[in-house]
Amino acid sequence: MMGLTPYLILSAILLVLGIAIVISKRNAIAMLIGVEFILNAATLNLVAFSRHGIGGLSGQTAALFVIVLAAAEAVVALAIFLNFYHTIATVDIDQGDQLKG
Amino acid sequence: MMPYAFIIAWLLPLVGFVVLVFRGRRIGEPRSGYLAAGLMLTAAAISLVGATRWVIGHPASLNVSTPWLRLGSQWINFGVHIDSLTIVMFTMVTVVASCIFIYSIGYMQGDPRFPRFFTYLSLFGFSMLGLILADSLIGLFIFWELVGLCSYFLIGFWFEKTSASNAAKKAFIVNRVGDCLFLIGIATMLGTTGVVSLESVFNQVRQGAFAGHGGLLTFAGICLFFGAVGKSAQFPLHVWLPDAMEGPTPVSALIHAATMVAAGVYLVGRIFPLLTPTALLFVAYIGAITLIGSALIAIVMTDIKRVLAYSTISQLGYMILALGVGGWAAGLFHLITHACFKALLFLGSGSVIHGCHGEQDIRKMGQLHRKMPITSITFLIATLAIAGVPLLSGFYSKDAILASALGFTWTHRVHGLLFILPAVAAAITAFYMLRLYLLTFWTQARDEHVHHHAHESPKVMWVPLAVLAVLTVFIGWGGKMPERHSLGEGRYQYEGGRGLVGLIAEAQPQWAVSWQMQEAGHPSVSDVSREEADAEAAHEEHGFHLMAMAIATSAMLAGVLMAWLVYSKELISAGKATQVLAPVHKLLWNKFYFDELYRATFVAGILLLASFGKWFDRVVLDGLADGSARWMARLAFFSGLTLDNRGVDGLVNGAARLALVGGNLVRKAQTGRVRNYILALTTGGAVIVLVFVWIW
Repeated sequence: MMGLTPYLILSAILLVLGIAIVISKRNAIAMLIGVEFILNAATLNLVAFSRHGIGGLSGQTAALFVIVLAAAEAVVALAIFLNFYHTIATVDIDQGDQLKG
Repeated sequence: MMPYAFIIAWLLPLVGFVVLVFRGRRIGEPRSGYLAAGLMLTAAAISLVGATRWVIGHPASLNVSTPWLRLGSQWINFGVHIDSLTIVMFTMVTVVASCIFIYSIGYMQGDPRFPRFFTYLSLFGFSMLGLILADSLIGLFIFWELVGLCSYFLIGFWFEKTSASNAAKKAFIVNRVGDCLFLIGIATMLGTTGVVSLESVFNQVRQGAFAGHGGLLTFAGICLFFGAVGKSAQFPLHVWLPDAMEGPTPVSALIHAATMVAAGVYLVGRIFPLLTPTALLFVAYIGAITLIGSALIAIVMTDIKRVLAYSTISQLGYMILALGVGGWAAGLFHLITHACFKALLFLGSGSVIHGCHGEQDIRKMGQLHRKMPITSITFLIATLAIAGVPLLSGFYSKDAILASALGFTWTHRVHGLLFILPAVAAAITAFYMLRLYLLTFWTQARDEHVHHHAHESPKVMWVPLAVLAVLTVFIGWGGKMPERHSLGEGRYQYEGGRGLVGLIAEAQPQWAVSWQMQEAGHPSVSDVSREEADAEAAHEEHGFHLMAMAIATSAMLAGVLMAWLVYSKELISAGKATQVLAPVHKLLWNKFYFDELYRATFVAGILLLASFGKWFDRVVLDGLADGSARWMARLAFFSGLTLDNRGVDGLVNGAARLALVGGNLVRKAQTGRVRNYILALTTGGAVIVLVFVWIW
């Protein structure tokens, strides 16, 4: 059985990738994907810690919650993006700096 | 009873003044004149009755006074003092003033300011009578100033004429000089004796208030005398009186001949006991210089009123001289007789001017005798009286003066001029008065126009002339100087006086700091040996009288003869004499250049002072003011521009700019780009994590 470390490394890579995507991409969809990366990195951490005996099963439970919440969050985000697109005719997040609907 | 009658008579002109000053315009012409003249006539009647009772009763002097104001712990009383001199002066003023008031109704007829004229005249009457009644130096000074004020009003009555308003100012300002010294004299007296009532001042001085300070007493006496020098137009303050002739002629008669100018002589008479021998000598010389100088000027004047003005100055000089040499009664006697005949002369000249339609130059007159006989005859009577023709009043008074002067110079040979000058001036007086009379009324008419239109004055004008002429003739009759008996310790008694002069002499100071006393630091102590000499001199007085009479009469005759030769017979040509004596004539014509002298010294000096004042004001004071203003402005600029704009505003603006700069700085972070925020967020999170990791 593999140790905890590879999971953590993978999780860190995922987190950094997610952050990098969120920072570098202008496309809202791509940013959403980056956010999913980050969430999954966190979820992977939770599961990995749970599997290696820290915090019992609560980690896995939390992971389930995170998956559900990520789905809900994606829905809300996509709804926002649709409205965004309606208004500005693009999903380029940099155009949304006007604070005006 | 008696004092109150005089007080009522005194207040009557004041009533006239008050009524006229408020209702004058409403009362109008000629009723305002009737009112003023009526009140003055009533006053004259009261004073005549009072004088008669006085002569019958021969009471001692009377005093009525009431506390007036407090000076420190000292009450100053305001009151009246009545003695025989007061009675005589009061009666003279009311009678002469009545004549002149009545005359003025005719003379001022048709003048647009007719009521105002009588308003001023009434005020003058009140002030003059108050001056006569006053019993203290303060009271004297108050009325002294009031008569001066009336004089100013009346000289400048026709103020539309520049010459008249200038003359009024000149009279007022020249009098200020004298009055200033008068006030200093009063202050000295008050400061030393602490009292102002004449009687108390005399007592204090007699008891030695000035003991050891004879010089101070002399100084105070001369200062007081300078009040008289100003008012009585004596050298060197005589310059205002000839110019004062710009006033209406009745004013010249009343104020500048009969009463106000004589007030100076009256003052000297009143303060006589205060004058030390030195002061009296000063008084005498001032009188002598004045009487000869102005008599000489009168010879060449051609304006009828100016001749009379210089004659007045000269006669006042006689009175002052008489007082100075100790002829107290003689000087004041001459005051009374002079008031009558000089008022008559002035009213006569007014009648001439009136008849000639404003012409005053005697070179354009002549042969007016037939045109205006009453004026001519009365004028002649007065002329002869002033010249000193026997049996006329002027003869007696001038003779008395010359006798006093002779008596004085007899014992003081050094001061011989004090007799020679008046004796010479007596001849000159006769000459210039005859010249005036002959040129005006007798010699052939030189201006057809003036002569043709000349006419006698109305009755309202010639009746006063006639009354005054009668007075001029008989007022001196039956007079006899009282004889002086020494009672020792500087006291004298006068006995055996008769007539007007005797009445006046009753008021003569009973004790006098006379010539015969030594000055020696204690003027109130008498010197016995001197007193004996004095008694001796009194015995010789009769002899002096005869000698003086002879000299005066021959001088008068010489003058009359000369005038007759020059102007009637024309044996000596006046024109040729003028040519021969051209420098003298020029000197006299220019009145010894006194006006020019004063203009070059005092007036120019004052102008210089004024221009210095102007310079001082402009340069120094304005410089200070401007400088301080400039410094203030500089300070204001500093506080405004530097402190406020840079400091305070800088602080405020700086705070704003700080906010701006800070805002601008912070604004750059607020890009609106989510990525940036996230980058910052994550970086920040990473930093926090790293910090936590490394520290723990």
